[in-house]
Amino acid sequence: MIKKYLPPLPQVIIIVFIIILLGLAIKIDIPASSLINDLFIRLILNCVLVISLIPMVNSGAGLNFGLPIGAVAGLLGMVITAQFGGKGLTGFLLSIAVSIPFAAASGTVYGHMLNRVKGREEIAATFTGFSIVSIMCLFWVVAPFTHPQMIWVLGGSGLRNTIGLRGFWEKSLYNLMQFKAGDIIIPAGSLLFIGIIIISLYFFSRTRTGMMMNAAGENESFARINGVNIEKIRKLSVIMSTVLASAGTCIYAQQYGFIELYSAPLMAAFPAISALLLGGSSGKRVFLRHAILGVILYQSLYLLSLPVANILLVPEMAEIIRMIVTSFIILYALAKKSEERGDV
Amino acid sequence: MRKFNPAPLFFALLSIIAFYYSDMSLLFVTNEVIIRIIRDSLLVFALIIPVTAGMGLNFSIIIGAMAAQAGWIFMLDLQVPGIRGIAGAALSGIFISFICGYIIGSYLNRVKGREMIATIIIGILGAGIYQFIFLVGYGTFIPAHNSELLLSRGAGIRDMVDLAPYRNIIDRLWLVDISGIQLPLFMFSIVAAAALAVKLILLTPAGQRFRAAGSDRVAAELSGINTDRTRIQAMIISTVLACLGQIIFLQNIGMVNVYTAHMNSDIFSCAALLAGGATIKEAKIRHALLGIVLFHSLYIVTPQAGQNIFSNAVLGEYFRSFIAYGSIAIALIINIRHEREKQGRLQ
Amino acid sequence: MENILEISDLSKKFRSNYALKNISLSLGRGEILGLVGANGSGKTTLMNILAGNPVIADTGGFTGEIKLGGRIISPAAPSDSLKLGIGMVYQEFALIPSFTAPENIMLGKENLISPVASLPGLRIPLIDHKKNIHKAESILSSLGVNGINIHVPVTEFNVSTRQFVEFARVINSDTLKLLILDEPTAVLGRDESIRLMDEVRKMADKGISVIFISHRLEEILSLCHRIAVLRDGILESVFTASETSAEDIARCMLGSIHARAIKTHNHTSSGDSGNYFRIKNMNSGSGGESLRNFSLNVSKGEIIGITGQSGQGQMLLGKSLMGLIPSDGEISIDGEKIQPGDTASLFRSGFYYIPEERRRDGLLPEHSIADNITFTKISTKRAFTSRTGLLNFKSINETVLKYTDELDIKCAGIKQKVCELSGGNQQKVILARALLLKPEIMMIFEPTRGIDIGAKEMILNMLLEMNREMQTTIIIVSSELEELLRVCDRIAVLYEGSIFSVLTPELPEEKFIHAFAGRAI
Repeated sequence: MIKKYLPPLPQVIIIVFIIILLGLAIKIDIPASSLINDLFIRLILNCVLVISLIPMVNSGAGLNFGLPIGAVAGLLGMVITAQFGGKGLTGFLLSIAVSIPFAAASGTVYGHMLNRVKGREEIAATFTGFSIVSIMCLFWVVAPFTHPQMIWVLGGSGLRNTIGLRGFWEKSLYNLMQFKAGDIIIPAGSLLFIGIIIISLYFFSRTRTGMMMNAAGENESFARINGVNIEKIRKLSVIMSTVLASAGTCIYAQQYGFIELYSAPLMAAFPAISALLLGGSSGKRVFLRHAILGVILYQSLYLLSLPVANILLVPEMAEIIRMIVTSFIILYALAKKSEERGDV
Repeated sequence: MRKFNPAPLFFALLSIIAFYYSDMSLLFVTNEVIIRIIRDSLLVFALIIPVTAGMGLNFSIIIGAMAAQAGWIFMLDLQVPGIRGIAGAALSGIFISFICGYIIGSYLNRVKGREMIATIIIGILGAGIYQFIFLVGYGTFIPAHNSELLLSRGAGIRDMVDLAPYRNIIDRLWLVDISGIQLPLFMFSIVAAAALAVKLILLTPAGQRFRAAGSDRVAAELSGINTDRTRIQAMIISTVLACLGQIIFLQNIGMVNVYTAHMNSDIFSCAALLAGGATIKEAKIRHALLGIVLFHSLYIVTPQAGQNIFSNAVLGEYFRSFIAYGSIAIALIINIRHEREKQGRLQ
Repeated sequence: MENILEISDLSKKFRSNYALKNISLSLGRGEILGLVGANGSGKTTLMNILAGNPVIADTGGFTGEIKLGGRIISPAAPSDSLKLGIGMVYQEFALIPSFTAPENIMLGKENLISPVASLPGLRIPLIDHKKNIHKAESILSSLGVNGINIHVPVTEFNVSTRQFVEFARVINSDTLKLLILDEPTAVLGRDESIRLMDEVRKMADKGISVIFISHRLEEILSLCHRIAVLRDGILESVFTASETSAEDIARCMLGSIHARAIKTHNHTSSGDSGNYFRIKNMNSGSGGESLRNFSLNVSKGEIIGITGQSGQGQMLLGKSLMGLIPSDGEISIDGEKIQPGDTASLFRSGFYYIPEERRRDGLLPEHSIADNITFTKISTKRAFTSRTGLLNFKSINETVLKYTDELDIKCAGIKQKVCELSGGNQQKVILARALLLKPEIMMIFEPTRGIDIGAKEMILNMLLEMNREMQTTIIIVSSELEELLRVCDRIAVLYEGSIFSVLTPELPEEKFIHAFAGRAI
């Protein structure tokens, strides 16, 4: 029972690793511009999903292992929009708008549930997320969607596993206000869109509610003593996180060009959580900069390991390394958090 | 007051309804269930001791399962035939799972109160390392002796390897046929021996320590029990049992899906245990056995029932995975709430 | 007499504070030593060291030397202490809730079935439950506990039975040399206490040495051979029981209250005979402490102190009011009835609570000084908040600067994280928050604990000023009687969960000593 302290941050290891990979990438002549372009794309894909975790962490509701709940709401918003013929940027924006009520409603129920399992949120959230994803699998099969680009052409009923967004709103945000600087593609519209989300969250943290939310997360008994309704504020944070996760999913699909249904969102929480933790949010408060730095580090690692894996003729390796890194970082953070709480 | 646990009744009812619509013969279902009892029992037994020791559902039994797969691959790679191969797979699997169990247990001592989420992620980490060894390592930095196992590119084990050299060596031993119901008595005796072993462990002072640590860890520590060591022991036993379970499982199937065979072994085992009436605080052999029968009856009949009711077999498959995840989610939520209410009362 | 336990020059530091300082103490074979001390005197730390509580090793261990039976010991876990022959009866019990009484008593010392256990080549150590039950029953009946149901978990028993099971658990040892009992009689009635003390005497007669902790000085005097008094981590004095009295011990515990400062404040008490703030029949319990039918009446504008020996329930008061622990009882402020835990109504009535654990409950350690000072005003009164919900940081900064200047809060700027400040400055931040909030009635716990002398004076003066300038009614819960005597209009002394007597500072010290010891005159 003698306390053992954990070795220094895994960030150091990751950064060293990235530098090695970067060296390798340069050695095999991968142009820097293509790396940067890919990094932009991966940022757009994942940034909002990672940011969506922040409200819940800051209110003390923990890392949102139930992120698939928001993701499913996003999927629902998108297929409904597509069914009714949403197209282009309007279609994309509409898909977010349609998912918000679903996300808010499921977030309310989910938040209520999390309040009842206080202290053990992670595991309860994980399985709530799994359950929602698997019950939605039933829904995707039976739901009365008719759009020919979304249902199986022959054999099998219900929606396809992956729905191509070509002809709907594939990359509509990515192409918005996009310009080139030399070989580098700057997706200004996407960056602006994500920027607006980040700025609104920043201003939210400077409101009374935002301040109360942060207090609830940092010191629950303090907040309670000083007039914060913990349950209410935590529920609000869960709704915010779920709504942001649904928007993040819409952005992801738009960029990726496909809506992935069925079991695709099952494991969505883990990479996002890992990226956030990688950004250095070992403390009780997470700042937006942690999320952004985390996404950059996490995605660079993935991006750089791809070409190296290909040289080794084992293309799966990039995915395997990502899997190991993701889980290692979460395990490290869990232990670190327990150490801080003095549970060891 | 012992509260009535409706889970077994619920599963029984669902199974009966699904069975009715599936139009399957009772004989077929019975034989299938018997096979599942043999395949899955040990994996479910593996969950009992960590639950007793207060560590919740041990989702990292998939580490034990992967150790078993590694054991089989080693034997195939070294081309050890027959019963010696089975023993070799079991022994190397046990060795690996013992070490993994020790490491997992030591880690879980640093995340007390959040063991379950940790074991899920340990499972993912383990799967990553496992894939790294067998998909990347073999043929590159690990020399392969049996090139038939390798992918055509020369690195990595194939997705599926045949256990032909070991098939039907033990699971057709002492096979009894009673009017169409096939009873492999030797395999039954292995399951019974494992059940007895778990039961006996719980009747020793070690079992008393598991129970004490599970009931109130601080009080157990104060009464002189080294709860950290006790919890490590629980994880070692669990991981080793899971490994043995997977050895039996794969041997019975006759092949190893190298990269997918372990997947969901944790979820389905946990769901089966809960279906039998266990909670995340209390689990017994009888819960495990009843749960396997109930959960797998449902598992066997749902696709066909889905096909017959909605003319869509996929629905049945999705339905059963929803049942698996859902029953774990509900068990967790109810249990955590009970615990909190109890704590509130004690204060 | 042969010494079983010899402690020499024992010190223990937590962070920079000494919890124990240069303790030297010895205990003879079969001797019963009483141990008394006020809240925070170091009793618990001393017991934790002897019982091998891992918290000691985790916080850097101790210095000095402990010898048990002539051997130097340094237990790092309870199991080490048990092996060495140190048994401890915990105030909150170390019983396994789901275990029966025999299972608890025999835990770790189970009898095994011998013949069946030896299968060829495999020895399975099966527990012999029958034998265990028999052994446990014989221990229990030697303690006069007969006829309890041995098949139900111990949680089904009442506390006094559980106390005897706990006692049985500890004395079921062949190697027991030193028996430590932490407030064993707190949960017992009179007759049961006498029975338990008889058993303790029997153990001592068998040659086992005993350390007996109790707040009931009468018990200590009748049971113990010698009595050690701890105060502020220092071994103040060791009395021989036959040559001392409860008054002497209580006086020693309280320290010198002769140097009573002259009150410098104006009483603004309205003399509404305690109608302003009322607590009626409050009951709650947590961590071995409890409030039992606690009632208190406070007049508008008065400063009332609440004190007592450690563990008399005073620390539960705020938590019960704020609903941090469950409780029942009635509260009223200015005639309005409020349920315990209804924080919204408490805030509306102008109530503010400043908890004892500054770092844990009183601050947002990662937030800035400015955030910490303005938080409650913002959360409960929507101050500095525009209609859009955005906060007006300009006016926040101006306000905060005013307070940091006025209270002389030493910091690198108002954006500095509050966890980087010293204890005294942190307390000032908390008081600045209260000043800004302007509560009608404030309950503050241990306002000067862990604070250096200079800041202490300033904080006490601030409380007086708040009372004078803003007519704030103040309830101070503190174990520093001297400090209460200086600032309070009345002082209520708690004993075993309810108010024993309410005294005024002018009364002679004998009154206070008697009240502390729970003795009516």
